[in-house]
Amino acid sequence: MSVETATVIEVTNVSRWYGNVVAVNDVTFSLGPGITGLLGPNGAGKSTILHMLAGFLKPSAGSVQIAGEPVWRNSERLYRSAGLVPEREAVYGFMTGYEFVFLNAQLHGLADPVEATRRALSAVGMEHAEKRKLGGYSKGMKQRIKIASAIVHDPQVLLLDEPFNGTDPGQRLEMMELLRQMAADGKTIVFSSHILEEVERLAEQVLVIVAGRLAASGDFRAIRKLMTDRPHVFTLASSDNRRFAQALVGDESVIAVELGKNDLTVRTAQFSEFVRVAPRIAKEQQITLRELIPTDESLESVFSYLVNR
Amino acid sequence: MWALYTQSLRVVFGIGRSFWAKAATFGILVIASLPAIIQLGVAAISPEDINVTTPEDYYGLIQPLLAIFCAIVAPDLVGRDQRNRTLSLYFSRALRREDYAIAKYAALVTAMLSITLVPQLLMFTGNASAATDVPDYISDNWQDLPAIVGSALLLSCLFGGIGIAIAAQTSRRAYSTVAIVAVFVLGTGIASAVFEAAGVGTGKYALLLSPLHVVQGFTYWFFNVAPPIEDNRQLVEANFHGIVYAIDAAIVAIGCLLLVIRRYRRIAV
Repeated sequence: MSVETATVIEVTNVSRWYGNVVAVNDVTFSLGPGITGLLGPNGAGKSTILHMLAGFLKPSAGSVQIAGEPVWRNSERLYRSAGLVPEREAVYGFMTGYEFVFLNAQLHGLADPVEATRRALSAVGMEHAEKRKLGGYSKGMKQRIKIASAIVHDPQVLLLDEPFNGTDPGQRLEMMELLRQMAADGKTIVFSSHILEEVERLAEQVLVIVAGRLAASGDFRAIRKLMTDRPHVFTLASSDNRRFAQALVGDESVIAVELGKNDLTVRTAQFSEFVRVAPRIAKEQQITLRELIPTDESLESVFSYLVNR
Repeated sequence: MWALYTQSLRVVFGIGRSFWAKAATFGILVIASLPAIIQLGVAAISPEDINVTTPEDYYGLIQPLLAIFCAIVAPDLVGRDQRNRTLSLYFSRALRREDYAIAKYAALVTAMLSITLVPQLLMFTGNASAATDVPDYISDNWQDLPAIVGSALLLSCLFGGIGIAIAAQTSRRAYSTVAIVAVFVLGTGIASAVFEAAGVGTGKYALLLSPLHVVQGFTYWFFNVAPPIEDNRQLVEANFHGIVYAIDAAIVAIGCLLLVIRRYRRIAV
């Protein structure tokens, strides 16, 4: 398959601003079938990008196309080949799960809404609760019903905004399995998340969004390596900090060592190598290593590194 | 669009929901039908030809109920979707935003028809079946049928348009309910006051901005009856041809629908 035919989502030089505030800044990417994670801290612009993909927001500049069709003001055509699971979409509590999915099948004008509803409910494993009112569903069940309603017309593209928010670990695993299955069937799935681990477990491709910019994109393993091999700062405490500092500074993985009153601050560019080497050096020097703590492991620091590199 | 229309009607009439969700709508529907029911009762038991009310006066009799019904139903129909954030549900389906606005408007007009057309038809059918000579009654009164349907439809479009145009502006039910009632009640009061203050020459145009005056104006025109002076002095003095009220109502109804479409084309979800 050529690259051209594999491209399903095409985002070209897209920016979106609100007055003087730039929410998304000149973002370009193209996606094909498989699962892509839109990763970034809260407020980074993920939802804005997803809303532009969904046709809810007009890009201030640039273009967004799905399956070769422009997205903005084209919802009737767009949603024949796409489905959306919004983060905040509420459901009518008085409707049963079946009625809700059936309504969506009717809204799409499907020829056989009954069969489509059955298929969608079966795909998300919700047949057992289809006659219960949505008001009595758990968060995870509501998410599944929302997915069922988004895939009732068997779309090629599925967009999900923070789909795992509020779900418990079991529900998360089930949903991940469902999305993997859909990706294996050739669907293009894009989901947003601010949790690295969620993206790591599910996405084959990652778009890292920070401060409205595309900080990194591509295969998740390459980006993970990029994140891991950035400069890290560790705080160490040992039985002889001065001698330990002398020994560490001779290792290739160490960039700088600062001797504090009761501890050492070490900068390294090789995270995994350093955590392996430091205990070995301590053992060789017959120094007791009491503490080895990475000090800047927040997601924000990872993201800011990617942006500034 | 049909699915959204039928689902909206389901919301209006509380189908599949609790008793209380149905209570307000059906309660008003029953009260609005009372004059028709009383008329039927009287016609059934009295050998005399007694008119409790006439078709052309029916809307005047139930005016407050029409306003209250619209003020209850319109916010439920569109405000609920904004409040529950279900707009994203509709706008992420193979449905244009214009379709959403039109389906909601059509549902409100249909709901209004249940309170305008149904009691009138009930009264007509009842009077016909209570008549000693049914075919004779129908041949004498058949002209009322297009007038009943026409006036009920235009009234429902006008009230529905005003109601939905206001309700679409906010997710807060209380605000839109008060605003809708205010437009109907204050609109009438202000138009009457302006009419009296400015005199017939200029003041008569104020009546065209009052929904209740407009409804009275086109209803008498539909039934081809001159408004009786004792209850409609201002209408009589204004002396507009009835079609002016009908055209005015149609323009306002269409204008309101365009406003609603514009609102949903721009609304953020």
